[in-house]
Amino acid sequence: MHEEDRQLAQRLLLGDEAAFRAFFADYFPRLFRFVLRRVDQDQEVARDAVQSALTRAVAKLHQYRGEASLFTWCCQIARHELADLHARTARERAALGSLVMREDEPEVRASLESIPVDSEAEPDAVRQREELAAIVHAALDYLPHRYARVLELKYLEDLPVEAIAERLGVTAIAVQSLLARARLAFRDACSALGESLESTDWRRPDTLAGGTR
Amino acid sequence: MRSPGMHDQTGNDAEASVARLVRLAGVRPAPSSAIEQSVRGAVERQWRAQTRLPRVWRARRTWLAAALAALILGLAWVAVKRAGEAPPAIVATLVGTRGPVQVLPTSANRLVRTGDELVSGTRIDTRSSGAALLALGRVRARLGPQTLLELTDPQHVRLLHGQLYADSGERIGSDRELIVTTEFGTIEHRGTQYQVEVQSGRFMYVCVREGRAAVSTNGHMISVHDGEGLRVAGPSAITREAVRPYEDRWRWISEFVPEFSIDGRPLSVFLEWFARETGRRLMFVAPATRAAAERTILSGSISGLSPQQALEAVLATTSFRFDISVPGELRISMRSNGTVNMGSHAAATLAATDPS
Repeated sequence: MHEEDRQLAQRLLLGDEAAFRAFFADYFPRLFRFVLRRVDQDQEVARDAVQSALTRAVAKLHQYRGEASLFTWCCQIARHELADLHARTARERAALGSLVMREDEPEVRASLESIPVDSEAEPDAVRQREELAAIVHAALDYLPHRYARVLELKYLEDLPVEAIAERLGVTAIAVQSLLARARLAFRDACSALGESLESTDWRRPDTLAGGTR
Repeated sequence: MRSPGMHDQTGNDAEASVARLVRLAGVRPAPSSAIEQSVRGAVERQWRAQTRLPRVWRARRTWLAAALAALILGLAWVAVKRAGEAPPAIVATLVGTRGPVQVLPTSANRLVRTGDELVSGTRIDTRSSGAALLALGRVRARLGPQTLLELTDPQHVRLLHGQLYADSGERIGSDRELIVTTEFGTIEHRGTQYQVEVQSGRFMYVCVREGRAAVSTNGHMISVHDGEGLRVAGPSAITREAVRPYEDRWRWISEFVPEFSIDGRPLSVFLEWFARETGRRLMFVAPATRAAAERTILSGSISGLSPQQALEAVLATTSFRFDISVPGELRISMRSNGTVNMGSHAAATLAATDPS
């Protein structure tokens, strides 16, 4: 049961302005990336689909019971929107292309396993890195917001624990605990994303274009 | 098949692995602020409508009652304050009218004049046989007969009944320019030419001649592209059909066109205007014909003429001839003998010169 998400939904239903701001700020960018990957990076189509999905999600919010995470629930609505979009016009069907067919499986793991990364068949390191980035971004999007945030503060912004604690308004010990849980969740998410990630020798920086920081 | 997994690693290795992956992937791409604002507006409208449900009212009766009382007091205060303030902002200009057109309530029910500036809250009624042309920001909107339109602001109008044709000129990208609200849904203008028809209580019909419109209805967002029409008669009565840009449903638009100045402009520009107004594709029989049309400078006026009358009148003063016998096409060629025929419409006021 996703109690925190259920409470957010309840606050939204009661017209809580702060809840709406938090909901939109957290869910819109993640859902946009979720859709963008499925519409061949077409921003216009993604905008329409996300707008429609979020509008429908808000309209159906009273049906949300917290069995799945709110983000997964929104993704499911977005999948239906994409399927509708796909069916409506031949032009949009062409624009959506094979990504919809390939990725829109009911389970996250299955959907992301369909992204092929085979170092022998696909020697292009740049492309390999892009695919890896897509998987990592998808994993971060599926994590609870505070997990993804603390990982990005730590490893992208290179902030020390004390600075993260100040940024998040918690103690340094709480940050360390949060980081530990976030790393575990991230690794679980990545594992769930399939073998594509593990078949890549991501531990060797020289195998990927651009190297590491 | 799984290689030695992350779960097998020791603490430091595991952290290093996570760090490396996050760094390799880099910052997650963010949608543009324009897209965010656009989506947020639509979602917030839905959310606010949702929170007005009776269930919520019951849940927060006390709070809402107090808020309502405060709101009434606030509105009363605003009303008193506004009594001594400047009039509401101008949101549109009346570019032209034909027949009886009434503006309510700001003109005290008088018949309006071209050039009148219209403020937020104004309603325009074209009655049984009138027509009106409005400038709403960069969009020109034509209203057909039996149309009732309410102005909200330069980007928002409410079509209560009748026909509205929106044209933003040449293709300018995908920025939102005009939002038309109807009882059946909302239409966002993301192209250049489209038409909305509302028969109150019966249906809404949106067709796009060029560009794209996004229709929001019953929680769905539906894209309507050029060459398509969408009919919405209820939550489960949505149909789509093909619409040609030159078919009869667009005819009323050609009967009431904005003024187009030809004086001092190349013939080619006039021909492009005609093609655009009538939904035809401009075709020159030879590159040399196009070049000659670009060199030919017009003088005079086509004021008061329909597009076809103007075409006949203008070309009669030139060495060009036209052919519109093929649906959807405007073919331009040169007269073989170079003679000039004076047409029947306003020929005396028109002339063309070829500097070459």
